[in-house]
Amino acid sequence: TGNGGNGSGNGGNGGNGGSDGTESGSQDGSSGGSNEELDITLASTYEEGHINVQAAKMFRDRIEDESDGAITVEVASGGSYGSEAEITDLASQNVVGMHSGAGVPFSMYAPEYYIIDMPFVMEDADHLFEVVESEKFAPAYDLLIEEGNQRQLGGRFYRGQRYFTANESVSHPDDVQGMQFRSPPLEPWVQIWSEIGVEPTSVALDELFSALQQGVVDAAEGDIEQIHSFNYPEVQDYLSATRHAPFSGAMYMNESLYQSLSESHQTLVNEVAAEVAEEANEMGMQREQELIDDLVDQGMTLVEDVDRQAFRDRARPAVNALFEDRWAGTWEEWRNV
Amino acid sequence: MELAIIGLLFLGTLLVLYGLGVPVAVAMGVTVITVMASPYGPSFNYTLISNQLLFGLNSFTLLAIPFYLLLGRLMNRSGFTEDIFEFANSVVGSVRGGIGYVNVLASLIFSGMSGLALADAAGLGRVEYSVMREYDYDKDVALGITGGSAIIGPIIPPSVPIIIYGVLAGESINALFLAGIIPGFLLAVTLLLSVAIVTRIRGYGATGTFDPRRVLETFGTAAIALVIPVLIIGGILSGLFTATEAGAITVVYITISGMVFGDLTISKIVAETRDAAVETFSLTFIIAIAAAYGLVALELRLPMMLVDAITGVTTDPTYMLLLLVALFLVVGTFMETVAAITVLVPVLVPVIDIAGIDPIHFGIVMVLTLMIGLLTPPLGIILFVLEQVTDASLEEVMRAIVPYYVPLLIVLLIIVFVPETTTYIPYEFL
Amino acid sequence: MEIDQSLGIKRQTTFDTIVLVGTVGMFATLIVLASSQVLVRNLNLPISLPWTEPTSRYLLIVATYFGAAVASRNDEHVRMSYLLEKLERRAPRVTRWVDVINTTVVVAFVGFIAYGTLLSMSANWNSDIGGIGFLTSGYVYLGIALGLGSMLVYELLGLRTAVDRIRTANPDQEG
Ligand code: NA
Ligand code: NA
Repeated sequence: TGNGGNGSGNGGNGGNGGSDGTESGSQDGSSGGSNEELDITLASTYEEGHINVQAAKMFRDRIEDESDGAITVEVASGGSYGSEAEITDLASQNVVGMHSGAGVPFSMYAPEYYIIDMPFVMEDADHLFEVVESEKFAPAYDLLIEEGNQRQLGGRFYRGQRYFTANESVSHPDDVQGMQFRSPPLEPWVQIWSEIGVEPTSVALDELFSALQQGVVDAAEGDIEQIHSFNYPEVQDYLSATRHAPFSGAMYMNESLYQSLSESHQTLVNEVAAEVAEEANEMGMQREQELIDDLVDQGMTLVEDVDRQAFRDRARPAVNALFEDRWAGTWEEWRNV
Repeated sequence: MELAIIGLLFLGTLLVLYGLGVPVAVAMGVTVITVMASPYGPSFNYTLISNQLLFGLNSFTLLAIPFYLLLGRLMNRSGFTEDIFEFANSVVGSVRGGIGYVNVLASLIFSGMSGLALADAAGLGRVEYSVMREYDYDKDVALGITGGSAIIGPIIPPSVPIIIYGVLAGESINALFLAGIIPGFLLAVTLLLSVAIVTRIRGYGATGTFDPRRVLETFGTAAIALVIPVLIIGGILSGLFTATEAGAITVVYITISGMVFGDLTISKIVAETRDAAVETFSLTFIIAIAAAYGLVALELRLPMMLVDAITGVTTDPTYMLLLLVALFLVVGTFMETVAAITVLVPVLVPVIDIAGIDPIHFGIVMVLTLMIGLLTPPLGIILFVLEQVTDASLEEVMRAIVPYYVPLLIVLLIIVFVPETTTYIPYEFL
Repeated sequence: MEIDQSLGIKRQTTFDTIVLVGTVGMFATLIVLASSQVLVRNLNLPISLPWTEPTSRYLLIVATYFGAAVASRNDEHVRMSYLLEKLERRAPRVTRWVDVINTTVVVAFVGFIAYGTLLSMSANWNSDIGGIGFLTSGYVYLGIALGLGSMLVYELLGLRTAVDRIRTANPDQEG
């Protein structure tokens, strides 16, 4: 059936002659009205089975159904369009019509609001959702449109917390002092983790497994999905519930494409995306526990009793400094939204 | 019909520009623009290529390329390449047809340090050819063995084409490097057998007497260089460092020991760094533009069409692999290796995924097939290099290579039909 | 036996020197950065250099286009010259025209992507690229644009040479 699907996709593309496609429709301003036909590329850097890809497919199935075939969607997963940053850039340049990913568009086009994926900044998932739905965060969405030519569709959905992994039990900042630690290569991450007392090291993600195996780094962190798919249990004994950053995903649409849609189709994509985000959110909550159970089955020891307040207190000077230099507002303000 | 026109635009434009002698990167880029501008293409976009100029190269793994290019150059410049040859000669030079075996063995040792077939053909190849001629070996034999054994280089780790494959396919470079070990030795063994056969037919004699003292002596000088393959392969196998790190460490190692024990001077190092820089960046320039080429192909859903076409013919992994080998042989004859890898890998990864072909196995098969393409006219670059570094004409080189396709193709078929030749070591040791 | 593997890189004008030294300098920095990162990690030195990874990645990107300029200056781009060389022997006059066409194609292409890079640069002037604080993707695009600009200069000079060769060729020699 997969082949058949591809076949009809090609046919659709041919019928449109490419001129009604994703991006040109908007550039030519030729589309509009109720009988528009659209074929949208929905890219994601994540692999088949990842929650972002599942959300993308749910969106595809429903929008095709509810638009009576007027809108068709091709989901391109597994990084065929590159990394998340690359896909975000392609979306801003009208090459892909939609994408499904994490917070990278905010990091690129609204960096002062890119507090959502940062360690020890959000209290928990509830706090995260209060923040992203708050009045105070609204300018971030405008920046996405103004600077990045793309908008978030529907709400954000929960993708799971990030956890600390090591070969010894970690429950307090004192346990991690001087550890060689693989941090994502983002400056705020490095600053915050250094403040806590680890030695952040840069290791490319695809070399992380062997780096952990040979002891180039002692510890790492990641969302459960990453810890699971990169086979950490083979090289790390302890999974500590530091829950230092609640991660969330969303779907984004190229703004020119969105503006070229008829009003009824605009409403439709918004409604469908909101529905899908809500369902993905529930899947995300459920999936996190399933994956943790599986990691424990594979031999990792879950350290549930982590002094998270101690970590946050230790991180605080760096976090405050970042709010002063780089991020909008203050920590206090965001905690009280 | 539409597929035919798109295909014609994609390959036709590219081939015409190649033929005219336009640089590979530019030929690809102009093809991208032509396809975008045609009514069949995706919408015209000024920034599609510029986006790839940044993101097409945004990978840490690519940094391994400069290391291994520089390493090959420093080896040749510091005199260590000749030391390897002298050592191999002292060991097997005394048997009948000895210098032919030396040719293959020296390439095998050298391949553990060089990432490109060209480094072998251009450096060691010159030494091997002239020594064989001095011992009155026929021109065609000297050319054939030198050219055939030059392609062991990119199969045995380290290897620049394998790094590029790994980056584009998202596979572990460490695993791919280890996967090349057995195929590399298979190549060496079949080429040694070919030497034995040629020696019999032409009646070559021994080229020296065996002297244990001479072996020890040459081993002493060559030891510095002989450490490098041990360092690279051993380091990766034992998990001490990654492929990129191994490159960095060996460059530091060869620079220091080349200055202490070899002929390396600061000015030579500067000159080799300069030339390696130019070589590196002409490769990465192609990789960036090829990324745009792959992106447009993706926008037109060419990979999916290709999947349909291939799975329509066969779904058996082995036959599909044979089909792809045939494709690579054709492509490899007119397309530069790196260009071929960068264009084909993003398109084919979904195909092999569906067919259930192991991506590590596939990578080695692809690189080996394209290496054979390097020996095939009209664009076989090794042929040009041999013409440059020897007294032979291009026609003589081409004719001399022909008999050596037989052992090379035999090895290729063994590797296609026995995937374990590639997957055993990485899956057992990583 | 001396192994000749030199590319014979030319350095005649100040511009040559700037582009070449810039390219080789970036290349050498790449090597030093990546090596020091490896050494620091493997020797367990008590310092950490997390900025080296993104820095060397972006350096490789920008250096590529300066390197492409040096390759243009020295005719070191990978290309298929076989057919052209055959043609050269049979019909040198046609070859000179093909040369002009080729170089025009290259000039037009480099101009096109340089223009696209300028568009990307202005669109991303404030887009955070991650890794290094002050760096935006706009700055990286600026680096790419400068490299492509140098390449364009060399290709235009090459075009002038190719056109001159047609103009100065003596038609009598070819009958
Ligand atoms: Na050889
Ligand atoms: Na090699």
